[in-house]
Amino acid sequence: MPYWLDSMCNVQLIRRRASTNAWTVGWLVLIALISFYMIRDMAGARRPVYDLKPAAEAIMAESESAESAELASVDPAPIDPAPASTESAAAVVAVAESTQRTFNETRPVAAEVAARNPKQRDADALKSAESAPATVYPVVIRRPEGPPIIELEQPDPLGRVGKLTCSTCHSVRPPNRERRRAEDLKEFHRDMTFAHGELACYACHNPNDSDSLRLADGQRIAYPDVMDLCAQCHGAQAKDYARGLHGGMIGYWDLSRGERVRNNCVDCHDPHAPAFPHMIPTFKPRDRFLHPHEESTGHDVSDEQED
Amino acid sequence: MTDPQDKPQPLPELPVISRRTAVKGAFATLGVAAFAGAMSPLKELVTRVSPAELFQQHYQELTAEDKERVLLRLEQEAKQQYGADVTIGDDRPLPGTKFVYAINLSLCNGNAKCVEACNRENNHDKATNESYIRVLEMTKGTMDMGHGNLTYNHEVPAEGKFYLPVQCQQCDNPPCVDACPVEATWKEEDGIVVVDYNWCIGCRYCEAACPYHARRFNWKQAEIPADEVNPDQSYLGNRIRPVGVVEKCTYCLHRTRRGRLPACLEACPTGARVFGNVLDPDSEIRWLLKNKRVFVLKEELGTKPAFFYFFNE
Repeated sequence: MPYWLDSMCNVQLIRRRASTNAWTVGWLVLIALISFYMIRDMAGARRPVYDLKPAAEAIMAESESAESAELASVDPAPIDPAPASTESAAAVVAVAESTQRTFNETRPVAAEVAARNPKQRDADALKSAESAPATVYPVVIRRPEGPPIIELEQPDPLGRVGKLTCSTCHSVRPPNRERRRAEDLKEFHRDMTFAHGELACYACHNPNDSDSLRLADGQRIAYPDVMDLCAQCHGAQAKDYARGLHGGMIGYWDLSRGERVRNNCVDCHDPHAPAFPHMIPTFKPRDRFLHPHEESTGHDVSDEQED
Repeated sequence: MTDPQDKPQPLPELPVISRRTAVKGAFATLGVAAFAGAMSPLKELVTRVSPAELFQQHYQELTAEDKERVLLRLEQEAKQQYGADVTIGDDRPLPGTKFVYAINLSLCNGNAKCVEACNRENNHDKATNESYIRVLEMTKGTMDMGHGNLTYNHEVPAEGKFYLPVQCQQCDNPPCVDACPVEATWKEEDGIVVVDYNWCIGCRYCEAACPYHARRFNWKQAEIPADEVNPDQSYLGNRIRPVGVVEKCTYCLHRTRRGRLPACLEACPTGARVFGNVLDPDSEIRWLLKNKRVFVLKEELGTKPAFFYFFNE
């Protein structure tokens, strides 16, 4: 045992050897200091403490009141506004946005669409009336443009120029409901890829008005309102969408500072082949742990080797 | 006879140096050399670090005027080193906000657009494609992140795999903050764990303490072409970090504290990411936490992440 430790432990030795008392006192002071700082730190005097208590209390109070409210009114009104209903869509949708997406066709300009869609203008007015006092910016849902339109690149054999809509051809050809899929067709649309369940063309396209779509009950619905059409079958996704949990968005989380723009269904899903496409990841961090050649024993890559 | 020239010249008288003195002198020389060697990093310090930076106080002790001076200096440095005109703001937590993030793993397909967006938004090094986000390719039915594959490079989503993006979880009980010996990292009122890059000593204890591998060390000065520098910067956020300090995801505080959505969310083509203020009873994230079955990573560690994952039911 070293002499200084000996001197600390052996009381008799300390008594006998006054010279070692200085060591002992020094050690005791050091230990006292260290324990003082440790106790003070553990007591949280100097640690930056993030106080969650008020927030937690607020959440508890809010959830309790919400629960009691839910119990009080069990059935009369659905708690979620039905996402597919036009009223709620009008309340959410504020401004028509021309989108980059095309149905393999060229598009008219946004103003044209807005002019053709009086419901949208109403929604605008509604939203601005609501938002005037609280200065809440809208959540804008991008809307597809109107019915597909093909612009002729050159005059046709009769010298006509202009735009073709679906009804240009379909208004003079009676709808044939026997033709269910693209491959059933004898001419036109034969090269279309279709992978959307067992749906037939006229499940969604309106046989009586080819510039519009139709709901399952036969009701006519305009192309820009296609989300209501999708929501008929994809209720889970529509519900999540209404809650802001489905679909990409940009803009502001804080609507008092700016608007949020959300994609609509057909921004990401091709209506004729709606499965989200496979992608190739193009951006990979290049740090040394991620190079299998440089560090073949790294645990990050062991999975790849096993597989 | 003896020529005067032949007479041996008297040798110059050398001072008598005792062996002891010689040894002492040698050791003194060695000591001085060793001291100079030990202090030589200071020379580099003098050239690399301006006195203003050297004597800069901890962020939390800076007065308003101090901050103004510091931000101006940092903007000038960015101009000098990168040739980019940047504005560095001092974004403080918004009152009544607590940011929470969630990812829908059923939607995430591992395309890593978030990784790219993070790199661009946060002024990361372009040579190494550094980013605060790592996307792990995991076998379905497993949750062992140690076996997650970070180097997958094929069409996604692959059969039988799911993808787990991991970034800073902004824990409510952050082990990294406890590990810091100089209090250069702390948790702010809106839940974001921030780093004062000018106070950090680069010991990397926090990096070791983080169970999510969410912190990064600046091994070298970031290489960013002037036109790729994101000029919207924040002191505690995405300003270009000095070499030798630790950095981390800040939920894009230079955006989110100004009301905007994080860059990784805006970049996500699958819409898998949900972000918001959990103290707002009407927010999407609040509804999600109350109604969806969410989980956190490594819950058993008691870090209390503010970052949740969920699947479609």
